[in-house]
Amino acid sequence: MRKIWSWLNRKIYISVNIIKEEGFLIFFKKLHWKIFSNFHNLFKNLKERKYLDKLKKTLIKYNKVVIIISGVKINSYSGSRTIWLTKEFSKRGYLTLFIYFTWRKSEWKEIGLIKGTNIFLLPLGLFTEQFDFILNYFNMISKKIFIIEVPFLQMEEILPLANAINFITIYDIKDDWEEFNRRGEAPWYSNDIENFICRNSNLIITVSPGLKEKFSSFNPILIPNGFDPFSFQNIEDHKKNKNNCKIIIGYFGHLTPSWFDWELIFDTAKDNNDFIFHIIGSGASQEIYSNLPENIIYHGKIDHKLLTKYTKDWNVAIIPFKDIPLSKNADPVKIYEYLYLKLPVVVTGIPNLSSYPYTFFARNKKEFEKFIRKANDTQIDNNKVNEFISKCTWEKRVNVLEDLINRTILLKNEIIIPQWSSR
Amino acid sequence: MTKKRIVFIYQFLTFGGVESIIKNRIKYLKEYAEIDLIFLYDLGAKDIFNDLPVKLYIEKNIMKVKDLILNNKYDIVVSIDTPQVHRILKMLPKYTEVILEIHTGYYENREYIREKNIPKNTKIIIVPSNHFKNLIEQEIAPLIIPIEIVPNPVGEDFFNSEINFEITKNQDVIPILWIGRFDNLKNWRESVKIFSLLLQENKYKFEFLFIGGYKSFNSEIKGFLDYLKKYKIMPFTIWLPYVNHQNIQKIYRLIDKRGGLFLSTSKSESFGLTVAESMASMCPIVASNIQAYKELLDDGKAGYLYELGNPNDAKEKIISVLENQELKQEKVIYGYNKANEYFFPKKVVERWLNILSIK
Repeated sequence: MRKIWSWLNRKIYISVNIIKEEGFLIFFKKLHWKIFSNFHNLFKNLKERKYLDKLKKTLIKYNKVVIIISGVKINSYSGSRTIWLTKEFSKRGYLTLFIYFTWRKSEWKEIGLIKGTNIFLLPLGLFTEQFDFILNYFNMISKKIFIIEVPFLQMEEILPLANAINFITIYDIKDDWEEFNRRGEAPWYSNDIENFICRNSNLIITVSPGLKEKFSSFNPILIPNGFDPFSFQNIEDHKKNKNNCKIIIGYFGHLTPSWFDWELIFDTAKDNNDFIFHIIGSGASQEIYSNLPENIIYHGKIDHKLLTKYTKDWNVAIIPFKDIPLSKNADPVKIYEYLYLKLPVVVTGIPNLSSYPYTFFARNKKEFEKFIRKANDTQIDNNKVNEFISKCTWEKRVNVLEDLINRTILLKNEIIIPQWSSR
Repeated sequence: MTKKRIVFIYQFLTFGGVESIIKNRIKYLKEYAEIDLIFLYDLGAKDIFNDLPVKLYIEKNIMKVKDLILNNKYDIVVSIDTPQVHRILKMLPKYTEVILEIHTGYYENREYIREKNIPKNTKIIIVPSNHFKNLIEQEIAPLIIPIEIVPNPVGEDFFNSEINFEITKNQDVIPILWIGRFDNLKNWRESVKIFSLLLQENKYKFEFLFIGGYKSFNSEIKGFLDYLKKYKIMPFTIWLPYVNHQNIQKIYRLIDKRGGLFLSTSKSESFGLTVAESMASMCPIVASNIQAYKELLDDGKAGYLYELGNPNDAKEKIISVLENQELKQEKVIYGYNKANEYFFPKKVVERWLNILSIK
């Protein structure tokens, strides 16, 4: 009886303090959370636990691990940086725990090890529910890396714990999320959380000079995007289609509404009958697909491996991004892939790409048209392109990243506080 | 002289202050005694004693604890805030001396004192500070058991840690360090309010470093993060739930080297180990004006005291530290000398041994 009274007394004492400090609303929120989180724990999905046990068993075989927080799922169509990094770490013998975002719990379908790889798939929702258990599974592994590819809200809790368990924590700034949010995408984005992530990560890397500048107070290291030469099938030389005087212009990649300049493509196609645009990818609105003029051919999503079947007939590749801050800070993976496929490229919206070989930066529609023609007439010097592109493979990029990680491991023992080692 | 056999008993094996105190004592105690440790529950910190010559038992069954004590024939049994074992301590043979140590600053955890749950054969009660002795005397009355003060030892590393690398950039960002559990007694909410006020100062750029919260309840963590957001300090916060104890001294040094300071907002402490560690590391201190800190900081000679519950006062004291480098240095040196004289482990252990008439 005395014990109950003492317990009750303590609870009342704590409750009164919470009410005093934070008000009734927060108190009731906490009470609600405490009651219902306990219920939730009681009825944890047994199937989910099964996969976590599987992860625990898989881990035994590994002495190094990378956890990657991704905004996209792994599939054969998408060629995002996150996926290429995942594949590269997997090739290097890291158990790569690929945590992918889903909007709904019903999408938690792909869980487990991908056959023939070291990639273990886990939905973000499941990871978030159990992250303290999961991160503790890795306690005994000496080399463990935690890479945040998207600054999700959940990272405010997960990242500090990863630091506490001695992960090397990395924030990879691959996009300007603030700008995406400003343009109505990434509704979950919070500037505060992104800054918190920056301040609490051991290492910050980024893809473009613009983003390096934007986050300069955190001293990010530039590791641009790259390409995988083994990811394409049957690369054939491009033949100039001399039989007709049409110029075949191509684009592959996501048709992100925020930055893909459909207006430019529509207007250019309309005014230049000798241009034929081939667009591969997804993400545009139905309205756009249903109003395409004759000289814009839309192919939908194409397996990455099969892209060369289409690109072999192209004369010029394009990256038609809008002239907005969001584009300025981008570093599209496709630029490296186009160049590897020996296609001259016409770019809008991303001025820093103008220094790349056989890449023409157009500031407006008139220049866009002019440079497409100029690019079409350009003879590509393979040696020149190869010299540039050979430094841009994912293998080389991850070499740089691994080197940074190894240096951070040494520094982390000395400095302890995230970010202070790189400042 | 044969070595005495001593066992320390404590409830929870965590990364907390009591474990640090035991660790820091063992290094010097081992010359005079064989030490065993009994914890009732391990909360994941079993490895922290790996490098020390001690036997570690984790045993929650009180009767088995009794068997352990009897079988090992300890000369001295020291129970540190573990009333669960008091009923078995009463039954120990006469040759075993029973010592109680009271370190908990949590009022509710000292219920056993107020309920007079004290073994009759208790020889001495040890507490870490003068003000705490007064408090315990009041709580224990009318029982009369001698109460002695042995300050908590600060690890040797804190007195001589060196930083042998360059911190290159962002020297203009001033770090403010806060260490503790995310609970009401440590008063972390007040630190958030103080940090929020500091952000309104245009003259300086600040960064806030919280250390604590490892193995805290989810609701406490959520409450902490919500509070950071509410007071808009999240983008300026580094939160490390756990730092290896060996590395804590490096952090104090780093904070000092980058022109920062240590802030403690506690509502009550039995001693104030983090403040003592900060003194030994020569890291400037701003602390609440509770009795423990008044005693530890010699009424402000070793650091600045602010009025508890008045974040504005704390903010002003922090700015004073930044604007008055000479005075800051004076206080830091005073603090270091005091820590060296009273909290160096060897001196603390000597006092402990003298009280127990072992040496």
